[in-house]
Amino acid sequence: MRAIVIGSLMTLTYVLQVTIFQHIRIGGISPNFLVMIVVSFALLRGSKEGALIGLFGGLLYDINFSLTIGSAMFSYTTLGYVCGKLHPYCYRENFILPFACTVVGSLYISVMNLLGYILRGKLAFGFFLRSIIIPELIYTITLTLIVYQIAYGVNYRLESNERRFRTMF
Amino acid sequence: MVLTFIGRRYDIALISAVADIITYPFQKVITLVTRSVSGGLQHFQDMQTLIDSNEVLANENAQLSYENAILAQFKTENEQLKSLLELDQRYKEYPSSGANVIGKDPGNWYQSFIIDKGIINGIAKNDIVLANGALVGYISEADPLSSTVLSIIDDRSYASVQVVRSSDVGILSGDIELTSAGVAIMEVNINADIVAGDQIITSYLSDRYPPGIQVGEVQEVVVGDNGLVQYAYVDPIADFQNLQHVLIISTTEQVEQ
Repeated sequence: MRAIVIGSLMTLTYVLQVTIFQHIRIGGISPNFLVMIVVSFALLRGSKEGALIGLFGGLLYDINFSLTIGSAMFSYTTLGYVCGKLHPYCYRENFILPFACTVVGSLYISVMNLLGYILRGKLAFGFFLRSIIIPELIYTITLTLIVYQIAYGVNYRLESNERRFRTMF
Repeated sequence: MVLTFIGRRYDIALISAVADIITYPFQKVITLVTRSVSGGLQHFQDMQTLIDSNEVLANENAQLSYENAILAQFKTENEQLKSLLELDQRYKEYPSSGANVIGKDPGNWYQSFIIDKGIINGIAKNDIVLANGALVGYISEADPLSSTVLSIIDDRSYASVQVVRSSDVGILSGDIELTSAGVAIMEVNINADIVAGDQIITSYLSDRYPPGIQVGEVQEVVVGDNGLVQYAYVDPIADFQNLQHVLIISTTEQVEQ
């Protein structure tokens, strides 16, 4: 049940990002929804589930857009795992931890992307920082509050559902 | 069992095929709806413009049909001369088909996009993609229903091109700093004869792109820091910001020969 709901949520986000969210780009920069979802669910559910969500989210991106499979998959899996380690410190009505984790996560994913450029000999760090990394970071952390609310709502429903089934048997 | 059999039969990677089948209908439907809604609104705005432009076009049509007749004569003449030179082998017609763009890379780093034709429609990896008769890129990955196109302004793309006027050959690559402007960069020898306004086509050296496809026009030429190369900013004819319909040219036949 949980796997189906989170799986379809991720597929939906991916499809929307690829199609209709192209229109919400500001100055050609789009927010990174996958970071928000991975961070939110990792904080709410722990490192094992965080890593799994990161794995499948990254894989979905890789098989469609990357020339080599595994680059995005690795970054999102490690992100989910590390954020999941902070699960015990996460009080659910407190927004500071998800906020901070999204900042670090967005920077981490950008740096992993940057590695691909460095390997190809593109070293215009000033440009990358000014035109891609910082705008994407700001856009992502602005929207993360909404996405965290949704993830929190979905998780709450799922957990109350699971609890009901547990008492039934 | 069935999936494995189909996968083996048509050489399809299983996971990517499954993901493709799940996401394809959504992408297709959303794109269709978005496009038809914006198209419907545009319809009313365009009405008056159309009436005006229709008159102008009617006049232009008369003139063009006259010119067309002359060109048809040139064509037959050209064909005769070409058959004499046996050049038609090189410029032979490739099988082609149209497709719609149904998705773009969600990130900010790369410029690939998804089209709605796949292996089922006869698309293969490394096929060439055109728009407005000019080069857009090539198929970097073919899935059963959709395929991914790597455009020439993407940072990972390289293409061998030449200047029409002087036949100087260079390498056209995407550059992340120019991507937002839809411009690619061409690296040529310092002694090459290239100025702003030159037309760029694909070269005879490329093993991926057939020779003679239009690419774009040189905007500006600068000399590199090391004094060995010069860089030309090439403005592609294809409009990457509003790409909707593309033409796919199958070149796999050519490779097999």
